[in-house]
Amino acid sequence: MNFETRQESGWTVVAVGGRLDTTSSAEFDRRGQELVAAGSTRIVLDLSELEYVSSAGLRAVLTTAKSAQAAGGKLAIAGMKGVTKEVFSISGFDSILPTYADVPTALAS
Amino acid sequence: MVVRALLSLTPVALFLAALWALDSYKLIRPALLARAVAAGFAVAIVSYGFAKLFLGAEIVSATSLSRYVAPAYEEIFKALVVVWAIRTKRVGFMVDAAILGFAVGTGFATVENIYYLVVVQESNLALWGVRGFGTAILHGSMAAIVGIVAQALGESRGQGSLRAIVPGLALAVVVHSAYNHVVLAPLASTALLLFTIPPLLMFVFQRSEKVLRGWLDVGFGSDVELLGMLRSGEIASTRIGQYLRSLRGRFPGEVLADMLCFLQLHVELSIKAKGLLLLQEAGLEPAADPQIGERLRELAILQKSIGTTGRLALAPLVNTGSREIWQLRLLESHAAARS
Repeated sequence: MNFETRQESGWTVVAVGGRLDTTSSAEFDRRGQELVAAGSTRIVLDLSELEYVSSAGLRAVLTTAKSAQAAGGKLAIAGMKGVTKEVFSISGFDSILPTYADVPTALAS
Repeated sequence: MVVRALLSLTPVALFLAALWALDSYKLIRPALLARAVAAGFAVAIVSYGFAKLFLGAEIVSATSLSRYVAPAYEEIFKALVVVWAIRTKRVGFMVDAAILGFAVGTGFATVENIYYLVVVQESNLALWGVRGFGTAILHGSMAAIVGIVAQALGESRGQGSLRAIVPGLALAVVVHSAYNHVVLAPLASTALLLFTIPPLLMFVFQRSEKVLRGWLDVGFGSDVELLGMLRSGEIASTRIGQYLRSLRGRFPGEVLADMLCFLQLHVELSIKAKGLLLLQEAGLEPAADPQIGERLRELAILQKSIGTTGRLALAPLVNTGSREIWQLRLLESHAAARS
């Protein structure tokens, strides 16, 4: 799993690529919590390079979103495609987390 | 009267509420919980009729009725509700079987204690404490144990089968009968019950949640993999395509098409159900999908169209075990509750 962060328009953009599965979700969870603890509570998850997401991955995304929300911020998801987009949609996660076509659209929202 | 009512009626209701709150997946929806409690009311009324019949016709003495006969028929009647829930796939794990069973026992104990409040004019609060913390908790716990054992054994012996149900039921009857023998002083029996049942239920909850999480993680992974293959646009080259091609000589073309549709719809609904569980685990409630009822109906039509042979042929690709049926029922009840 790739996990790269950058600051853009007052948001922390986190680009996650590869596989977000049982193994990598623990690392995602840890790094997400670290970001929120460090004050980055407005997060855009760029999932355009994400190839696979498991239930553990969804849990980790949800945990980070809840932490950001609890700290007064929010987490948005951008750039999903293919099966990843479909998994988020079918599982109902897109009704809980705001999703956008790409990062610029998410930042402009 | 108020203190007596509080002592005898509230502990079991609070215990049930605590059990429901402890289930992080909220597997039992409030409507089903209420129905289980109502079923317990009915079971208590029927049991009262039996007791009157036995005593009125002098078939057994009051002591034998209390020690042997009543524990048997009361536990059997309560178990019938639990068995109905298991057989109709309204429960899928030990944790929801336990909560549902306890709810039936709660309804039973509530009616029984209301009856005692009306007919027994005893002002000794210890009696009402024993009835509330002892007898009522016993009724809930025994029905919960029937559900837990039936669900646990059902995985190897067949869900809802007699071989899965009888051991837990026998245990419940024996414990209930032992309690009614009043070998220990009532307060000591109550204390024993309160020291043994909560840790037992805690253990079951932890174990069941571990099993549920394992099933969820493995199932979700397989579903996503299957969805990926179905959505790849090159299904012919995937192992699913190769497998379906191998069935061409055995099924008419339109049935094969329905098998593919069934596979696709089943995996979508399966992911949806598991997504719902993941969100409920996080304390979130997703919006109801207005199309869910239509999709479930479509799945039933496809299932009928492909028939038993078609379903068996798809068995290597799609799991249609009792938990898979249970998760579809979960979606249905969620949609009904949110509509």
